Amino acid sequence: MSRSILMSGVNPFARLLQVQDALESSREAPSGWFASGLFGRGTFPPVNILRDDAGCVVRFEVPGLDPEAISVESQAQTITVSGKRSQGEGAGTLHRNERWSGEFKRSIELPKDLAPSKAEAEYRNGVISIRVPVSEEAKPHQITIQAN
Amino acid sequence: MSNELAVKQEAETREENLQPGRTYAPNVEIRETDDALLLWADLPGVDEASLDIRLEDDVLQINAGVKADDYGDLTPVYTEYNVGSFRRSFRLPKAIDAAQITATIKHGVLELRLPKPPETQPMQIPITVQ
Repeated sequence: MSRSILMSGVNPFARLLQVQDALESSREAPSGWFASGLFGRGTFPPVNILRDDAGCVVRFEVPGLDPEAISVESQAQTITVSGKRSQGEGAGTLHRNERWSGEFKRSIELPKDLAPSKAEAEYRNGVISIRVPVSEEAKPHQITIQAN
Repeated sequence: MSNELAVKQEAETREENLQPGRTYAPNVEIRETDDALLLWADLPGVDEASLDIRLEDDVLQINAGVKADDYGDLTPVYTEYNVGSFRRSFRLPKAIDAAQITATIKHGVLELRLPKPPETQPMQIPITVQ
């Protein structure tokens, strides 16, 4: 089958399309631990959880937060994110407002093989990204064999 | 809420993009003061470099791309939102001083200031009492 250059692997849009499709299909069928149904879709803020060999990345899309009001905490296997977005300056006449404001708090429970206490978080371009590594205990260890 | 996430609305336009991929309409807040129109748009994941704002005739168009790079070799295991480009257009009132428009983006929020030319700003008329 001949495919256009737009769909070939070298095209950056093809990569974006792959990501979008992957996000879409995972929305229908979460895999592994996250398939247990403990999660609340429709809870604010929306979260994306992604994995690779080193661990997982938990992402929240929350633009315009007051940076000093963002908090990311871990307790056992749970990560709790809270933050606040102040209302605009409120000057002049309001024509439309579709933007949210106020405080939020959301907890995510992670599988046992991850170490939330070792997590690192950043807030960039309005996205909170928390990288949670695989715990030391969950990594494979070589056991020495003693031969007598 | 059902599986369909109401968080993001896909952008409605008459023209389609050449490149594939989803495009969403950002949420906005629009205010008007005596001397300007102010617009804020939520564009999570967007930085200065991937932002394109243009004014043609009296239509203001906001285009913003998100990069797939952030996703590297990550496999989604649980997701509640999709990522995509943002696009939205607004028809502006005639009285906007196009040369004086300023745009800033901070923490994924675009702030646009569209000043009104001085001649269209409200003017206090002095009343003389005789």
